[in-house]
Amino acid sequence: MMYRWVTPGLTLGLALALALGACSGDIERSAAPNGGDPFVPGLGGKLGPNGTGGSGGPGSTPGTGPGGGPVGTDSDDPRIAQRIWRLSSEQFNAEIERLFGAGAPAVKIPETAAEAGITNIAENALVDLGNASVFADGVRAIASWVVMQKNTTTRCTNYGMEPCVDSFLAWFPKAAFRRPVTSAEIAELRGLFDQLRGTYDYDYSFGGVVRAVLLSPDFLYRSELGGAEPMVLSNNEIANLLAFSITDHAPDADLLKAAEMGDLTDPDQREAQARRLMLKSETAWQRFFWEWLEMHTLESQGAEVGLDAALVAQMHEEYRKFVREVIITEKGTLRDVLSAPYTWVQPELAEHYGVDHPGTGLMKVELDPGERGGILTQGAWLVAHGKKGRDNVVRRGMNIFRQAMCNNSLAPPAGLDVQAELKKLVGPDATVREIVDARGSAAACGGCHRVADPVGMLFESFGSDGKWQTTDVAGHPVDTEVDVMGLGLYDSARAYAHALADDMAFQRCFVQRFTHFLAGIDLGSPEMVAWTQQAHERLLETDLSLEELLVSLVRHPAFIERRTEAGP
Amino acid sequence: MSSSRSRISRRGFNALLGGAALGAGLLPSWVTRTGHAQNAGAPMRFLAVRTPHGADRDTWIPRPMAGGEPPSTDMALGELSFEYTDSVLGPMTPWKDKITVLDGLDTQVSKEKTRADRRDYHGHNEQGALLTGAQPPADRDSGNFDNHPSLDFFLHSRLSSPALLTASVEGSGTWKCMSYDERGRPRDPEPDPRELFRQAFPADFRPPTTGGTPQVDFSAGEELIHGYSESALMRLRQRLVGTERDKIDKHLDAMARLAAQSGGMSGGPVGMCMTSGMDTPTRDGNVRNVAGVEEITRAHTKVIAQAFACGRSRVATLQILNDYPNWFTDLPDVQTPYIMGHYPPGFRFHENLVHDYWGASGNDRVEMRKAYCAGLRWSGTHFAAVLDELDKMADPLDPMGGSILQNTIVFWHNEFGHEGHDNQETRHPSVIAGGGGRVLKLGRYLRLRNIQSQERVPHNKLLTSICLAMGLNDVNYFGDRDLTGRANYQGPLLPLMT
Repeated sequence: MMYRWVTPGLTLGLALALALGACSGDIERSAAPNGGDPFVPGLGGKLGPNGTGGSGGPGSTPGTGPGGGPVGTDSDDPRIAQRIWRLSSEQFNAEIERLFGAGAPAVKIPETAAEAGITNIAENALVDLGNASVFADGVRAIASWVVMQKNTTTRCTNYGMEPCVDSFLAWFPKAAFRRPVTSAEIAELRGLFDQLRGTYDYDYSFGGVVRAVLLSPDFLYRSELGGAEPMVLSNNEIANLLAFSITDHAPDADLLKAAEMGDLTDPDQREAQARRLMLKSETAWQRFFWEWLEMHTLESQGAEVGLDAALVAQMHEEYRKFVREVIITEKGTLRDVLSAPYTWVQPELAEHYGVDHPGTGLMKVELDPGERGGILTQGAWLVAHGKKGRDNVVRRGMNIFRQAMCNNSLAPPAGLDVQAELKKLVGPDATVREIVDARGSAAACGGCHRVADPVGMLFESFGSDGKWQTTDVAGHPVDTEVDVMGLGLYDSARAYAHALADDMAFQRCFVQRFTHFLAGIDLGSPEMVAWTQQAHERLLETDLSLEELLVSLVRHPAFIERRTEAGP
Repeated sequence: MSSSRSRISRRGFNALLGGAALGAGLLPSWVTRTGHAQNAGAPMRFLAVRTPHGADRDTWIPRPMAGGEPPSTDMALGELSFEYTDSVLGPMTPWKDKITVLDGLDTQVSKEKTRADRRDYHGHNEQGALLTGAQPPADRDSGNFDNHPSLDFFLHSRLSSPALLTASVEGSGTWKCMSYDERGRPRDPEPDPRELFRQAFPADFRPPTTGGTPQVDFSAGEELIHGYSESALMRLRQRLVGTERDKIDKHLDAMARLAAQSGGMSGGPVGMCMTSGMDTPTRDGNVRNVAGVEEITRAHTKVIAQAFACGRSRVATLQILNDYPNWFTDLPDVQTPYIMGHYPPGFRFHENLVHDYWGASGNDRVEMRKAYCAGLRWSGTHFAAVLDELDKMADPLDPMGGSILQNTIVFWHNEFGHEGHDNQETRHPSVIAGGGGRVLKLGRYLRLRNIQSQERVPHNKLLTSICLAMGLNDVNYFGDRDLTGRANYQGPLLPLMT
């Protein structure tokens, strides 16, 4: 075997950095939005042995107490700024279902484009001219539906009568605002109903109250404002942050009870809640890996390479089941996600993969460890980054290079016709290796492709349809023996994926993007941010446990402290 | 209630100023006046359509029957032909009197690089420059146009309608978007016509011609309901500063503007609109096969036309594929014997054929041109389908009984221009259609400059022309804030104006 089951660790990370440094401006490592200096870890002292110690408890200020380091984007006070965060489409619809049950008209909010694949970004989550009508119209349609369902949705026994209004207001505003409400707030809503009822019928007036609440910022936004300095979020704000971050849903009864008891500023309480919520976190994990590895092109690419839509749907199903089982049920590690030698597939997909299926339906199957293992060898990722009629080297290699390793790449230099240049370097019958070698040695391209293409070559054992292949689309034997960045020899995608889990640069990127996803803001590399550096260290200490990573992030004071943004 | 009305009214006014302020950083001349309706006829709408792969100007322009260059810089299309070997605009032949072909327009802004974080060379990422009129970012993956909204977003901010529609046939990407918000952030298009319809029409929208029962005036009730959420927003606003307060201001302004629109929030009567909120299209956004491109194009356009007719929208964009989807290679006219012998099965239309074409010579170039132009001609059929859908829809607000097409400025452009090489900022293939010839000429071929010269005609002038055609007579420049003082960027494209 030509590959080695190494733990490249720092050596590989250093080599990558050197390789990237040789990119002569074509690529650059991504950094925190405002540059790195303010995030230098260590200002707050070294971390405790379990990655959670010394947080200083509630009220400690990052950067001054043990374990507290700068995390934000302001040079004077690097904590995350006070903010509001509008519900995403998914969260909005889940909230409507939580409040009224299934069946309400769904709302799809037009959004700005993702950041590094991550879609739910606090700064970008707006109600503006581009989407306001969707909220207004959607909420009106929901309210119409609510009043049509009468007792079912309003939890009344006497919809149409006055007492129903009061019983509705006894639960609805509190549930919708995800916090206790005052009697004055209820009275204001009752006053609204009465004013409407003075002119209009019962249904319109009742629906008007529903609309008023659903268009209120108390429903549409989560707030992270806190109180006086040091700016620690309120218990309700922490409950909402924990719940939406971990489960993509509103806080459940247990979490609201903990908030009511004022417990959530205690890192031990947050840890307990996070461990409990892990059992409900499948949606968030599924969305995270899907967005981070940019698999949203699965459907369009599947159609382009001629796959049956049902088989593509099975690939998506496999991905969701795999993430749920490995991360939630088995409490697996990052390594398991990347290289577990088993998966869950329907018979048709098993046949596509060339593996035995034990019966019918979605079942766990063992994979040939020489061929497949982990999400990077599943149909969803392979097809999403496949390329019809060509080798898949650049698309797959660059997805790992850019997304999984957090490198920014710039387009080819001015005036360069990439394809024309490539044609000058290789003949029309060139093999994939010849093309890769030529691209890597070309001055204008090599900076990035020398690093990315060998990784892409490893995945050439899979066609653009995700099937195992021994000859490529041009009829040449598949050749996957590669030297990744001159350091490691590998000859299979799974071997590489297994080693990738132990690569420091990959781990840092994973922690950076997971925090980006969790906090809705890009804080930069863990090398530069004490909060996430601590989480990375905890990941290492726990053999890449995803649950321990999450716990470390929510225990840190940075999770619950905010700074005041400069005034206008 | 009266105070609520007063607050909304004032905020509505502020919202209009917000529209001006939106432009203020970019276009100081906008601040002095707000736009006004162009005439007493139907309101003008705007639709921008984009198709991929650039075009060879030699096969894209109309030509005299005898061949050669059009003898005049301003000619009736009726005197010219789209029917010659490898002509791209063949599908436009039935639409000659409803389109104008612009020859020699340049996205020169993408070469200016007046700021360090901008890019001064061509590539796919200049696509955002088309509708923002702004310099593209050096980091194309960010897609950030640095606080420059696209024309559609700007028009929507100045015109009265609830929904801004942003559609695509297949997805786009961070740096392949058409629409950009006020901050210059790319806005994801909606690939599914069913979802686009839902954005345009609330489920309870009822056409005024059905039902037969007298309309109840809900305006006072609507004001109360929105007064409640406005008060809550104002309370939250008091707790915020900086960018977070700005978020609430945007929210308030957007909601106030909706509330101020007659018929907008309550789905009130709009002419002879025939669409109900339950008339959801059946076509989804999955292309599936080569025929699916036109199916989705038509489905999207029908939704847009319905929204225009019912006053639900006045502005939309539609991106029909980009350079990546490879459906072009499934076309029989692209699969010529030469091409099938030259490339392996499943070759890439863009990376193989389009790029190879520009470097080819002799017979290779002739054969590749044939296939390349066949692909572009296919895109032309999609634009023809757009015009057809718009023309089939009667405009209920047109006292003269015209179609939606007659009251819509349609701007069809490509992702690239070219200059003997693909992916260039020069000679951007552009067509203006619709609008009834009221402000922008129709049925013309307009050569805007000496094609062989180094002269450049910034496309910002076209964007300004469109603003004028939409009735925003105070706009004299649209685009990058650093170029407001450049005389060659100012004013409309005079040859295009009636």
